Amino acid sequence: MIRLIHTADVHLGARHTDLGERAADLRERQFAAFRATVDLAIDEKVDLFLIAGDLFDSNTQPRRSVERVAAELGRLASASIRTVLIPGTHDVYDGASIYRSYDLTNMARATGDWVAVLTPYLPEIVFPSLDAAVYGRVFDTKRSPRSPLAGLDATADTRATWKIGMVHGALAIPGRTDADAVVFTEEEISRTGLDYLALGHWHSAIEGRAGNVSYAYSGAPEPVAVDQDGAGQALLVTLEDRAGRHIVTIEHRRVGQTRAEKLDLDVSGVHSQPELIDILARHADADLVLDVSLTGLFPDDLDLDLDEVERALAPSFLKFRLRDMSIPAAPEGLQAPPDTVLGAFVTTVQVRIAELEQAIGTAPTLIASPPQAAEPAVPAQAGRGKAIAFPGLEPAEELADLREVLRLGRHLLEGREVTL
Amino acid sequence: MRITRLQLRHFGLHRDLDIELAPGFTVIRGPNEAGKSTIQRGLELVLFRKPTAATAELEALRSWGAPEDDRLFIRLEFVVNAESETGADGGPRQGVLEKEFRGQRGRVLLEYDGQTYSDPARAEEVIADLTGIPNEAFFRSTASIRHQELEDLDRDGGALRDRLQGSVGGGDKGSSRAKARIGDAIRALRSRGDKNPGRLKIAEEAVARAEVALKNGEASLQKLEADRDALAQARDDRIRAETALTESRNMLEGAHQAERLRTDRVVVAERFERLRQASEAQHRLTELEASPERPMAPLREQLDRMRTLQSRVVVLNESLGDVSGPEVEPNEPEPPFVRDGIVAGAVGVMAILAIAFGAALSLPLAILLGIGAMIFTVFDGLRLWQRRSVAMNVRRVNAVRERDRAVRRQGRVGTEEGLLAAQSGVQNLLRELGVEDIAAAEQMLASEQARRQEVATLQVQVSALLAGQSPGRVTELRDKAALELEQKTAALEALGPLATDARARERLEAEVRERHAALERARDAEAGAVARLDANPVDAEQVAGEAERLVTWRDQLTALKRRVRIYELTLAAIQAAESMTLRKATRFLEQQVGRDIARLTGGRYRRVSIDDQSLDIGVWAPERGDWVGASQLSKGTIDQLFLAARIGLVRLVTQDRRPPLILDDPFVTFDDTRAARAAALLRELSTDFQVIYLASSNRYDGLADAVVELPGPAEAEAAVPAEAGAPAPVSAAPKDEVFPGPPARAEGPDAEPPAADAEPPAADDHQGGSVLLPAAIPAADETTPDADHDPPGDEIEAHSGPGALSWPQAGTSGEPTEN
Repeated sequence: MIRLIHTADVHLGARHTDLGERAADLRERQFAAFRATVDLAIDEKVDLFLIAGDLFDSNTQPRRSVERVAAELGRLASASIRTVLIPGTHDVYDGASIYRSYDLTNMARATGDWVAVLTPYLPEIVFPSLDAAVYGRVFDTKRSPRSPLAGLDATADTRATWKIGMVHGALAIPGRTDADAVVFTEEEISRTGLDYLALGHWHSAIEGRAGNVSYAYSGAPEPVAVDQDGAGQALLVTLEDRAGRHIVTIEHRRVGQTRAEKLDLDVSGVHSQPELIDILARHADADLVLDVSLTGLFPDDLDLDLDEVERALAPSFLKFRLRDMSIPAAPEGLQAPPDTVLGAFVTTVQVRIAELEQAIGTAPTLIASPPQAAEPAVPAQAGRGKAIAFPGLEPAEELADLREVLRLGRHLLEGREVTL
Repeated sequence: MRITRLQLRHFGLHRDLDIELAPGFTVIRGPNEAGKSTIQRGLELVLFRKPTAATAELEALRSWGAPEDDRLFIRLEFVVNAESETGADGGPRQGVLEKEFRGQRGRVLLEYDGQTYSDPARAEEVIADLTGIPNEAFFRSTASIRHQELEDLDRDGGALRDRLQGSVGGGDKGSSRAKARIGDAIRALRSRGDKNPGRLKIAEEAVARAEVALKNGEASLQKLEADRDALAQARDDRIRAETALTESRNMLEGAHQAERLRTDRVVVAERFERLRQASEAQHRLTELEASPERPMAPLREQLDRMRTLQSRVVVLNESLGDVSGPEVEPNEPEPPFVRDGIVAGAVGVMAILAIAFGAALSLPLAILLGIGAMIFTVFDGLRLWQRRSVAMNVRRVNAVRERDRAVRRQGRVGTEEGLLAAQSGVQNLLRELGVEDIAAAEQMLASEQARRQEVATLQVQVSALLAGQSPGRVTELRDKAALELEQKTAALEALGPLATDARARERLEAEVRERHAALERARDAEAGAVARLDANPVDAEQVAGEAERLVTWRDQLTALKRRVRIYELTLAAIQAAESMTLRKATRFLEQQVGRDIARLTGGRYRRVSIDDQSLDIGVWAPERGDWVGASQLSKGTIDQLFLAARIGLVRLVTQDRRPPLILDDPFVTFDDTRAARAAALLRELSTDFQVIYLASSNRYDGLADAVVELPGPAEAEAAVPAEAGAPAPVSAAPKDEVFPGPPARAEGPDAEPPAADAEPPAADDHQGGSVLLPAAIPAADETTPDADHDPPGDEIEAHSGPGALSWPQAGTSGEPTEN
């Protein structure tokens, strides 16, 4: 029996442009997840620790990152766990490869038996003490000239009982993986004669079986982007021989903390800014990247300072983002008579809004009550709203702007308090 | 819409007020603190405030000391002249509006036109539709007029304008304030000063900074990758150069070795040759030394004797041969010499004679002949001597031969004996030596001598070849040398072509030098690449930070730009709306105010001009023949203008709807004449609008369709304790006391104001509630104090009594309603 931890796609040093100043925190979390994976390996006393590519987000990561990783690998080696690592597509084994620039094995104060980086020049390693062989298929270019599994057939290899493969690439899905740099098929997997194929590249955990070969993507230990629901895990894999049959068991273990959530909040029921903050504060979670979109009708008497709300909630989340996608509610009740400035303002803007809605094809439901003057000071002729048209804006954008203009102007003219 | 009945509960002073209002002109009169303003507020609230609203103001309006459960309650009964006000068929329609302000649990009940509405929003819509006024703020800026509004109208020219603008604006505060606020916001965003940059500039600069930082960072990262690539290349090159150098060095070492081997082999070959020769010589020596040795001396002696004997034998044999043979040599003849001697003497004598004669006679020729003859004589003499010697020798030989012949003949026998002896001696010696003849013996001696010679030579040779080595190990040494030689040869052969290439070393030495230089270059290149890498301080995580910052700032910039866009557009739209609205509004107002101001000023001013933009009001002063700015008019006139404008505005904005006009004693500053004119105007207006006038004096009573008198605060207070336990009873009293004033007026359009005949029975109601008085209108013409106070020429008197003018309409429209 042999037990191993399989991880991949840690993407240390990744950029998170959507997280702003909290991006560094997520980078730190990515490393923490890697460390948690190492801890898991040590706690579980596994035999092997596999990293199936993209440990680093780029080949230009600073030395201190490599040193931190090396220290973790050193910890594994001290716990008698052998590490096998392959470069991926982000940390590709080209001339500038981080694995050429730094000797991880040396930096981990280990020997090649304990920390092995598989390369085109060292495509496999056999561990007689584990009765296992690990086959890595690595290219020195980002885009592979052929399938990484082409020609890999471990069936006849008698050096070890347990045959484990490592590949960083995409399992072919017609139409979805065409653009991927490294692609292979299930059929190719089934022909490898491996017991287990440890895959990297996809950030969500996925497992499957092709012929007699079990394969799995471990996914990223910590989400690298907010939409990676299946990330945050490492795989604890057990290979055992039961009455001559090789049985592979895969367990998912959580190592990542970060979650991302998108929340659509109907703002029409919200009466005040503190109430909104209260509602959102119920989701408070330091591990959560919360992306809130305010939807629905924005109540006429609600005055929100989005910056203030963001500032108020930012400390409660890993990252809190608030976007206002709501539509300002049409004024309640009757509108100002059209012979007043307010009435004329409302009419003008609403006419333009109606034009845009027609142009875009939105149902004109957004004006609760259309200009209702029998004889308006400002006749609602077609096109007269163009007087306030924006140059160079998409109609949808202009429409959103105009709705805000309507709300703002109305509130200002009515002398109400409104945040500017 | 005309309100016929108003009920207030728990509303300030009015714990339970129930009054009826005339559909036309109602005066509600009471001293200060009697709750007149509260009634105005109550009307505003019941019409336009949401029942669910919870504000401090509402809380403050609650009657002091009222139980917690008693909330503001207002109830209206109203009538709408459907035909004239809504354009629909049918006569007046009645309605009831109730609101109870109870925070979230507040409620509304509107019954109108057979429908009942309890939804606040829906009720609000219906009211707005009936009044033509959308909200409370708008109501307050148009149809609900407070006396405070007029207080400082003469403060400056702008005050009136601002008021009007506020009203035309349709909102509470007017559009200039809105424009100012949004303008400030735009400036705050757009400000580009260095000291106090606006948020837009800050964001733009931050974006620019982040862009530069990111660009530099990305460039450095690319350089890092390129340098790392170069380093990997340089490292490979260096390793290749090292390998090549090692290879060349190994080859050179081989060449050196080949050279050494070749030299060694030559030495070994020499040694082997020497030892081989020595060995052979030794072998030969041994052979020679093995053959028998003869003593040389006796052998030589015997041989000498033998030779001697043999030579005797020969000699004897020869002599025997001579004796036995004929005489070999006969005597030789002697040559003659005497005749030559005589000749020579004769010549000599003649020579002497010749000389002597010559000398004596001094004949030189004779002398010369004599000398010649002398020389001849000398030579001839010499020849003569030689011939004589030869002749002598021959004579001696002949003598010897003669003697020999004699001896030989005598010694023949002895010779033959000696021959025999010598021959036997030779034979004896031959036998001793064991050889057949003398030649063999000579041979024997020679070979013995040669052998000895050879042995000596070989001994010298061996000792020279061995050069001090032990002669006993020669063979061993030779074999060793042979083995060594073979080994060297094999080693050479193993070196391959190098073994035979004599110039390999030089060539390889050059190659090593070259490759060493190449390695140095490769090392330099590698060191250079390392140095470049070390010199690049780029930190990928910092660059990531820059990228993230850039996105954040860009988002912010986009948001700010959108805000500026929206603000600017809002401002532009407000300005556009303003200019569009004000033009129409001013024209309308000019017309309306012109008409009303003529009435109010008794015809003194008739034309009014209002600026489209500024709303500055000008009045045509006929006495000056020029336009006069509003600010130059007297306070009273300004007030009049304002009122006229407000009423004009109500008409303008409500179109065909008719909200009730509620005036909180705006004419308080007017003198009686003006007040009368104003009241007359209101009276006229009341045909069109319901007018509710809150007054503290009774000077308008005469024009009113109904007068409601409120008790003073003290009376109200006094009434309270009595009613505290029972909320309901008070309302009954006023209701009962409704005076049929208005119906009386309805009798005829031309009826005189019934001032005299319909005297109110009591001015004060002892019950303390409000009282609706029949309009006690003094005859306008007689009683208005205009004539007394105003200079007659000041204003043109409006002769037609305003009250009289309005009666017909008031009568038709102002039908009293009773519950």
